[in-house]
Amino acid sequence: MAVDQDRLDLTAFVNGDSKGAAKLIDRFSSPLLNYATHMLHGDRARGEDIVQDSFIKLWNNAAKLLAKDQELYLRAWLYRVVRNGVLDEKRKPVWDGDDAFEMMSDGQPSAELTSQQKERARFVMELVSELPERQREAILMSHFEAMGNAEIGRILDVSVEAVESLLARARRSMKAAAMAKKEMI
Amino acid sequence: MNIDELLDDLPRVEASAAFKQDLMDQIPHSNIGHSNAGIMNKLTPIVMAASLACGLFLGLTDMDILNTALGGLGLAVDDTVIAGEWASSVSPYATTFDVL
Repeated sequence: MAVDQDRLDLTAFVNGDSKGAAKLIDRFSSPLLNYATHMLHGDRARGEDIVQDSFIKLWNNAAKLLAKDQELYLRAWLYRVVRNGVLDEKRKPVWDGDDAFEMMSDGQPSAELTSQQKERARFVMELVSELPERQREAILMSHFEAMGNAEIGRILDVSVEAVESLLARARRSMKAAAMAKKEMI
Repeated sequence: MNIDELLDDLPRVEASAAFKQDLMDQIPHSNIGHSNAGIMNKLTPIVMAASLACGLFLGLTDMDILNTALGGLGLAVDDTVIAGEWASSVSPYATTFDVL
């Protein structure tokens, strides 16, 4: 259903209808920005740059994408492009110790949260941030986007079994880290 | 400890309206309105054929009208002129058929 809608909207865009592009932006900009920002330890500004570049790539390759595959896995394609952008970005020096939560929230939502909620958010962000990269990617896609293991596998270019293993290890690592942190507190 | 419940506390980053507008602004202008270009591409041969027929008919009686018609079709006016000059050099009485 979503895959069909992606094809319809991308076809509309290729045929010159800007509404098709607007729908794609509405559907994908937040999830992609969320993924990129968390992968960059809360650096929203750099996440936005990557998402912008990814959409430009989409506009430039739209016709080719439609012609290439009968089944268009647009979400997986976009995540792969963003992921490559994140990997490139990570080769540059990252994170100078700023408060990741404040960087990520762009000043707006954080003001609405209680200090207890902020504390919990920081705690989970830290847990996720400490995960090895692939485990972090898998857990973000699985939890935030409710992606199936096959789709995650397509994005990360690994088998379904490997995704299952990544998710299981991510959960184990987070659990262990959370317990250790709580004991320290 | 339930990790999924814990993950629910992970803040979700939402794209702002301004950011979405930025993304819209970056759409290549050549794509928007592309469908109209497609229609024009389909219509062009028909328009050309009709114009050519009209030009031929009028051109039988007036060389200037023929040149104007060919120019209107987007054909190289220079080529027409050159062809006209060549035809004139061959014969001062060159007809429209010589030019064509």
